[in-house]
Amino acid sequence: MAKKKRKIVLARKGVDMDMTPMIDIVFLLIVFFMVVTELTVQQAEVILPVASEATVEEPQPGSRILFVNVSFDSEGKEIVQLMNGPAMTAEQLTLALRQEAEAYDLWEDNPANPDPAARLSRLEVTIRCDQGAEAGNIHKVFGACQKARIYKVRCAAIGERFEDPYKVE
Amino acid sequence: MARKKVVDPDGNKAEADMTPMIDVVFLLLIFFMLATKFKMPEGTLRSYLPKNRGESNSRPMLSENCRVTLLYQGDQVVAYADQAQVPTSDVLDTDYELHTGIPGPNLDFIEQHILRRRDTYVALGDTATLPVVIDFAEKVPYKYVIDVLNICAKLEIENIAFAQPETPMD
Repeated sequence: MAKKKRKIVLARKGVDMDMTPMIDIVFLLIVFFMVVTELTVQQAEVILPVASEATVEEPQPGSRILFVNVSFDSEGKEIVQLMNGPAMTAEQLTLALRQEAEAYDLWEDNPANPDPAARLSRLEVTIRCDQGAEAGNIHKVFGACQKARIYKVRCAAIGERFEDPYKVE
Repeated sequence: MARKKVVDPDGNKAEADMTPMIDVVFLLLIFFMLATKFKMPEGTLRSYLPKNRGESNSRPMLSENCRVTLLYQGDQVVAYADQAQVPTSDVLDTDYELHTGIPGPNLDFIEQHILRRRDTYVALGDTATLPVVIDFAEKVPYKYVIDVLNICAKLEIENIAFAQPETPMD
């Protein structure tokens, strides 16, 4: 009997739930997802090879990283791009890397040649090549880097992969 | 001038209706949750070019070295560790091989071969560690070159060279 009475009293008063903590958490979740969401593609979509020894390294002080992407276009043709730029031939890539090296103007002495014209660029180039692309592209990119006097070259890979990149969504 | 407080004549608290805001906030949350695609962090394998060669081609390696050759025959990658042919792997053990349906060379065989060569290497001149030359055909999938490079990194081999492609004679 007493139980029934109490219920009636509560119904008249109206039970107010404090929504503040829930709204706080929801806002935090929104901020988190906003930060981690990549709405624009920064780099070409490339299926990188897996290499257990690949390490995540920050550029050295006073250096910058340029990405050379080797991927497939919509027709399945291999293309080489500097960052998100247009498809390039080996000669165009050499020219573009030379221009970047000149523009950044970050140089170090060449231990084998004191001539200022032989100085080496401190720029770093990371090759992001699709694992199914022809390995001959390495020669193209390495050759272009060498001609642009960029010697810090890295091959991008991921440490491990948890999902099938070829799965059609 | 003091600000006038807005007071309800009945003494009730003025409350904003939170329901529409919570609705919008939940919609935003669902949108960002669906739009989020977590990416694995990208690492790199260091493959610095020789500093002192300028624009010239790399000088040939005169000292003893270990040569891993990757050829492309049909759709199959055929590998040699020095003169020994590397057996083909029994299983399709990577996503790329599952995708193509073609097994690649047995990487453990290559690793064991380089390890044996490294442990028996006698340092000569300026080459303190075993030089490894990776010689690959143009059409070999990039994955296999990275596999060999990864083995070298695992075995702490620093002196790695990519063989120059053969240029056809005029």
